Amino acid sequence: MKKNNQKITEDKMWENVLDGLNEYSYETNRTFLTNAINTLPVYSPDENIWRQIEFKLDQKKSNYKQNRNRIFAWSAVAASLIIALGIWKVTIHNKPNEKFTYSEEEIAVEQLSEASDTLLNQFLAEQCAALPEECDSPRFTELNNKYQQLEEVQKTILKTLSENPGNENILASVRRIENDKIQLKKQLLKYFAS
Amino acid sequence: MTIKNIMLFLLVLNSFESFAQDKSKLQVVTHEVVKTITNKNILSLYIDGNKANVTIKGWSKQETMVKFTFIAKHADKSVAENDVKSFAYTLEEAGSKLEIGTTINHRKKKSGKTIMKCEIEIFTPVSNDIRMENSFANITIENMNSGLDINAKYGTLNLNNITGSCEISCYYNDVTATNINIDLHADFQNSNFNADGVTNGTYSIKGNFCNTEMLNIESVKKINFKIDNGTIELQLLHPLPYKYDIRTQAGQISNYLPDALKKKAKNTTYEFSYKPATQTGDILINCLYSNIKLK
Repeated sequence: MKKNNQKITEDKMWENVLDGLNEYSYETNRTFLTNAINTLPVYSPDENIWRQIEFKLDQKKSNYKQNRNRIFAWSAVAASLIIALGIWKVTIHNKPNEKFTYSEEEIAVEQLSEASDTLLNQFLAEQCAALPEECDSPRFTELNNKYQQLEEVQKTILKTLSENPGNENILASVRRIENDKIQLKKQLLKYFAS
Repeated sequence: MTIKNIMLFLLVLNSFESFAQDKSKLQVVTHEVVKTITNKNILSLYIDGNKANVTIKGWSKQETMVKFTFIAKHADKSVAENDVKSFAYTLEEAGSKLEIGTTINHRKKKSGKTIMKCEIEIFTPVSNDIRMENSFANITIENMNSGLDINAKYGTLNLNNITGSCEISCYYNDVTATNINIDLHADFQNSNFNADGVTNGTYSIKGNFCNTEMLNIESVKKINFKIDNGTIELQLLHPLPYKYDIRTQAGQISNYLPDALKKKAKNTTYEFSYKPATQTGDILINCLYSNIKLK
């Protein structure tokens, strides 16, 4: 009831203000408005309203934090999945395909015997003493040097063979060198065959 | 020649049997590893064979597959099983290069008598360049159209269906080639070269104690041989339109080229030269003691 009366009084007052504005000059209106403002009622908000505002703000802040945490959580899950997928791909894809198999073989292991190079050297030395002009020829010297070189090569290969026993490729090289030596021996011996 | 010398001579000739064979039963353990490199940026392979037999085959896929086969043979299975694990392999990507290699960790081996064997089989895009170093090994390269750079000792090298450029350096390492169209720069020391089916390219070979045979030469831009000791045999399917400049100081030239060509050429036992009005290639051979056969 009291509120209703107050409302009616305020409405009446605003009507007066509007009438006054229409009716009087600027100066009169100014004085009139100043008086009217001074007569307007003063309201102060309920003290609870600030707590409510504070509570609502806290609530919003809390919701924002919750959302943010949720986004972080899902991002972490997604990132973990991507990393896990990557690791899986790398390990599965790059994992070498490996297998062990077992069998039995009867192998003919070659035993090397000492080649009788000393015999050839002895023979050549005797022949060169008897026929020095043959041994001094450039061709004979080249072949003889080549033969000595082959002997050195053979020693190196035999050493490699002792470190890698039974290696077929090294054995093939030993055979190859031996054959080359035979060819050279034949060429060297031709000088004294006649 | 005295009787003593004749006896010695016969002894020397009969001293060639230097191998004997002894049969034994061995347990063989084989470990196979296959890896595929899908990196399409790989443009070249570097292979350090280290006594492993290597086979390289070009294929149409844009990836490289490498298969390592490690074999250990020993009378005791557990020793062979342990020793096969002393093999290690390298497969590393370094920019556009793929490095492939094998090693043996001798500390891991139980026995020094175990027979160890390693094979590498590689399938790679045909255009990938290949650089390889190897010794005491058989190398096979097939179906490639790229640059090959090979340094090999005490083994064999087989080339089959190869185009592109080849730098080859061999020492006691024979080379066999079939169906080739390459620009070859080779240094063959105590290494034989046999080629069958040459369709084009340039062949520059220097060497010593080297037998060189090139058969079924359909066409060639240039042959340039400088081989001091050895033999050279060329079989030209169309021998006329080339400039020939062939000489050997102390060897011999056996010439079975068509009479039409021989009549126009300067032809002696040590020299053969001929220059046609229009030429499609050069055949230049310069030797010291080598024998040369043209047919």
